[in-house]
Amino acid sequence: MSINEHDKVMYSIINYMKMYLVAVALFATTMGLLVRSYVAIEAGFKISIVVLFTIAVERMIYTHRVEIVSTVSIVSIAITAFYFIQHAKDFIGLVAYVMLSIVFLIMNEKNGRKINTLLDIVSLNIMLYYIATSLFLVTRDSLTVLETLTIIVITTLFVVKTYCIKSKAFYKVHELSRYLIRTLGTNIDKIFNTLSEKLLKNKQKTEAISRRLSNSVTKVLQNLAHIDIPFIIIELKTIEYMMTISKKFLEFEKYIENLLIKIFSALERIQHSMEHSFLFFVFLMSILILISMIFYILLHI
Amino acid sequence: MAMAIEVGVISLLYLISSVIIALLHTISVRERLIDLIAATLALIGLLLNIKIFMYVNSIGLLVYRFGGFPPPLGVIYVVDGISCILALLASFALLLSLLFSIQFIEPNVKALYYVLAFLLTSGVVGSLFTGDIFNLYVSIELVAISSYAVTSIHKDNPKAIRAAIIYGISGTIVTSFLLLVTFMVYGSYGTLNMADIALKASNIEAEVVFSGNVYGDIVFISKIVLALATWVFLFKSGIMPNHFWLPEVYKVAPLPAIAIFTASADIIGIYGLIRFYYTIFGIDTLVKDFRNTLLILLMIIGGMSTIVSAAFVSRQNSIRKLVAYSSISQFSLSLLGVTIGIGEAIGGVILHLISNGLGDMSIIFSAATIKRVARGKCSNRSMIIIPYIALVIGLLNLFGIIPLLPGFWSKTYLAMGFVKAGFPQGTAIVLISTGLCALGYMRMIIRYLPRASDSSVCINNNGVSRELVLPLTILIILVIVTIVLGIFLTAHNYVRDIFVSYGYMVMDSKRYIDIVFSDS
Amino acid sequence: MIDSIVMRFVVPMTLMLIGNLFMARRIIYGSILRILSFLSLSINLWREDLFNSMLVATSIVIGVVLALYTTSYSRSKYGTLTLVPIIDLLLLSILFTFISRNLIELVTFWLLGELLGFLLIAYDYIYKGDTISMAAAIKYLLFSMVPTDISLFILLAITGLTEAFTTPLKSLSLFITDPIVLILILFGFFAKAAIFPLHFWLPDAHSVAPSPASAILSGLMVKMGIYALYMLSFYSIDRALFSSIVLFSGLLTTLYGAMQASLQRDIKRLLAYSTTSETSIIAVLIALYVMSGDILFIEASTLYTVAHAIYKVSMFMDSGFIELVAHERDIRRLGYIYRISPTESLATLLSIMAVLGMPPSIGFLAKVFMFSAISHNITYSWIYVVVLVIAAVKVSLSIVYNIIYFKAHMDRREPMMTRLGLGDALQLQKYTLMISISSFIFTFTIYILNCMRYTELMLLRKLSYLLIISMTMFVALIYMLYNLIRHNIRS
Repeated sequence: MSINEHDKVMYSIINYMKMYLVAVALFATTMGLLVRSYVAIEAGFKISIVVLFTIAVERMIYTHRVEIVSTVSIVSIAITAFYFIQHAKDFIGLVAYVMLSIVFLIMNEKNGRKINTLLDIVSLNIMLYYIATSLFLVTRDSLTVLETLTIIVITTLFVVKTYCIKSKAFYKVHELSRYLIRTLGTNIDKIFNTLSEKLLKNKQKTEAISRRLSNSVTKVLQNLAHIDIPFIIIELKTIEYMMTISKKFLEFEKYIENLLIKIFSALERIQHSMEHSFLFFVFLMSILILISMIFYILLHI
Repeated sequence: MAMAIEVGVISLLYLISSVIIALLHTISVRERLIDLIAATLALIGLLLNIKIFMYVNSIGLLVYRFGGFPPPLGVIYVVDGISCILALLASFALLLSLLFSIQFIEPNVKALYYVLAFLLTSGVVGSLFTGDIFNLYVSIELVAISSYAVTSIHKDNPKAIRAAIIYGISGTIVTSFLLLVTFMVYGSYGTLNMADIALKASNIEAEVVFSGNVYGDIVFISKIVLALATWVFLFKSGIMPNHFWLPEVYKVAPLPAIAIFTASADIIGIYGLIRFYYTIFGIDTLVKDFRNTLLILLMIIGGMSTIVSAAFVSRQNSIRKLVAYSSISQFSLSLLGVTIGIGEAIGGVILHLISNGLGDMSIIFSAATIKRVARGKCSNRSMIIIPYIALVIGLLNLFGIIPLLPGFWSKTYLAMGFVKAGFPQGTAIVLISTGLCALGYMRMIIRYLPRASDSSVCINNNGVSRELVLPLTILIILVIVTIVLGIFLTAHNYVRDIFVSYGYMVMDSKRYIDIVFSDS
Repeated sequence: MIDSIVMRFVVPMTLMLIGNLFMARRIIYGSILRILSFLSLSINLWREDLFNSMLVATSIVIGVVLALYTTSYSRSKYGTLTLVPIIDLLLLSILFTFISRNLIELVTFWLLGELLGFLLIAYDYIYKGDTISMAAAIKYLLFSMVPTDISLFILLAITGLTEAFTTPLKSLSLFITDPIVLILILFGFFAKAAIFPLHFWLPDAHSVAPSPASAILSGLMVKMGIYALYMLSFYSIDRALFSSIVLFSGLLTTLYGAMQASLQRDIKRLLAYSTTSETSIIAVLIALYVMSGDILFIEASTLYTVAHAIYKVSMFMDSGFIELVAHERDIRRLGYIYRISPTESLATLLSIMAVLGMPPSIGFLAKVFMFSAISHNITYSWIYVVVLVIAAVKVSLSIVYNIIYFKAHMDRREPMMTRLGLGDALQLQKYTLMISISSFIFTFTIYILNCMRYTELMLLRKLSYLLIISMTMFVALIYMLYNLIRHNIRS
């Protein structure tokens, strides 16, 4: 089997797994939304984290220690924020939702330049799907106007930015998402419908506007993407610190070992001298003298 | 009590045996005949001890009056639970050591060794059974002198002579402190009988027939007596810092002699401490505060000694030094158990001494056998597995973490004593020293591991040669005794309770006094 | 009859000893007997305690697979079969610890297992005179065996010997009132489960032991410490002190272990550090249970234990395979395993994804339960927020180090043909695959058990439709992958 065959096999294995995961994740979240079960949505979210792993394996993204930063911060914030959204009060949920969106925008920016296939788009945008579902959770009580507006704006940006990379793909995904969302019957449906209908009406204008929008959003995002520089610095420092800790610990162990060996050699030397010199003789003699002194005192009380 | 005559006879039996062997040797009887007679006499001693053990277990405390004279006029033997089981261990060790020395000591010193071994055991049994302080001193002196002589039995080895000198001079000086103790006690208490001293220590006004009242201020004297006696017994058992003689002696003494040392001669120290701190100067006597101070001091000494000597054990490469430092460590652990003051702990101490004796004997005998097998003929090489198993069981017994071996139960009881006394950190000390010792033991196990290359070169493996039958039998007996004791301890409640009851019996000095002074 | 000592201990032990004796002549009969001895322990599965049953089931599965694995491994690496009986004995003693009904049985087999663990860690020293192994074994003895012995002896002493022999474990009347005693006991079990401050022996010990030994040590033996912590929660202890100590140490070790694991370049050290991290999070879950009384935490810790055990065993089996095939342990010089054996890479990938949360594996259930449990209680105290954040960081770091590990398999490098040692070693891959798949089958078993007997695992019912669908799809996936590999191997 030649080298390329091996590569193909492995990549197709990973591809199959990714498809499976995405399918199950979609199924889980859909069922969760249908029957209003938070557990299923949480399960779906967990699966999406594994999708991240699959993507990273495929691209061997985390090849440098620097990349550990982005992974750790992004994924941890994502998980924390998601579970916060579940159980927190309204305003905190909104803040978490905004944070989550920004995080995924940044992540898409970093990873999104190499999107080639439909599956990639779907898998990367599975995050969007979950942001949408978390929006659903946030909106289980009534929303204020301000909150609704913010949500609409950010979602639009998100959709536009991600879906406008390739216009052909846009339509395909649009079909898919429309179909999915239509079967759900939530608020998002209305927003998406109105948006997409408006956009479909003037296709060219839409394309031009969307391209301009996309560029400006890309510029903003590129600036935002530098946000992880301080994180990178923190993480590099942490890595350095961890390595110095382990070195120090090894040194500490060696130091203790040397100390123990020194103590034992000293003890052995004392033992040796006690046997081989007549030091113990003196020691015993002194005891004898002490006893005789006591005896003398006793006799003369 | 007609049945109790064995108690008086046994010490005499060992004395007479040594004289018989000496006489036979001067008549230059054949070597094999002397071996046979010595082994038979040791076997008779063991059987007598078994009989005493079973008798004492049925009645609790046995008193034997020499010549029928009542105490404190005459010397008495008081056989307690712990006395009889330690005496059983001593006679068992004597028998095995004699059987082992048939092939492992040079023939020209063998008869001398027999004489000295019998003398030593006579002294040990005497000091374990006695109820009289001066008799205790005499027996300990007998043990000591025999030990000095046994150490230097290989006269042409200068190291042996040197070790004997060190041991001899320091031992004599320290043992004479015990004589001083006897004088001081007689001068103040007016008696030499342990029960009598105990009675007068707890009740200063008591008046006993034949010995009258106390004379003068006995509180001060009692404190000095207790301190001196502690010092003597610490030396006898080799607790740090009085341990310096022990490694030297164990390096040069003949191997069967080391077996006797660990199993009978060196346990006198711990036994003496138990007697002095629980029977004579018990819990509620006139030196209560000083006794408690000394017990705390002993606990500190014991703790430090066990950890330091365990650290030494972990670095040893030769069996003799390993056994030496391991004995120091285990005796210090026993000292720790003695100082707690709970019945279970003392029961654990006795069990610990027994398992230490059995384990050390297994180690020494199996190491010697392995060395002889490895040097010997090709047909023996596959037999190396039996001594190796005995070595492993001995070392694991000393390590004490397998519940099917008695070493585990002694540590459990020590731990129970510590926890009951409200001092669970003591368990940590016990186990830290065990862990450090275990390094040395594991190293030995790995070092003596039989390699496949040993038996592959030989063409004809035709079984056991005649000269290996006896050592292998001894090893098998030791392994069986260890495992049987362990299984009985694990499976049967009453065997464990026997040891606990010994512990409580020792702490009950009132019962001791009552039984000694009661009968006609 | 089932409760008697003969059925529970003597029969498996005899079968195993006879099986090992047979190994010298006919390996097939010997292996069958050994597998039978493990399976005969499955009569202990039907008990009231969920944690216990799952641990026993996991150990049985691991035992069966490792019994086969060790034969090939031992023959390839050392040329003899002397490793096999020791590994079997260690597995049996750990199993016996888990099925023991009273304290004395627990203590006996626990101590026996520790002794065997020492011998296995020092195995390279015994066999080849490699002093690094002896140093690691000495560290293990002093910093893991001795503190655990202290805890066990103190527990035995407090219980008293009559109760230790008769009373079943969960109903011992232990009253640990003195805080010093509790701290001593806790530190003993921390030393066993490798939680701060007695965690530093683990990387050295688990990376120098032979691979099947590392698998058992990392997969099952540290779980004994967790089991002991779980048992402690049944007695009357100072719950605030217990949970605060375990939480502090556990959270610290989780972060530290995960971060160190991401920095390692030796595959076995990476796995060892990740063990400390994951075991600590399980301990944190138990501490949260003690603190809050919410039973979801215990279920989460149970499932996580099982998931992690299977994951670790399969990863160590894989590292053994890499060691034998490539004679190399540094990730920087590896990267071509997928060319030698795509089956093995598939198995590793499946294990990693299983522990990260691919349905329908146990790892998925564990993660869902864990995060559900934490987030349900999040409004009660700030501690849960901290735990959530640290768990999130840990999950992300676990993604990182798993990717770093997987780079040993797939990094587009050329294999150094002169250094490969194939042959016997290639048989090992099917065992790794077996155990990776088993983590998925496990869910199915638990689901059935859930419907049948246990009243716990309520959350599982809510996920049942998801699990069924994903199980079906998973079977299809496996079928596709199998066809893919078989088709390509043939061409």
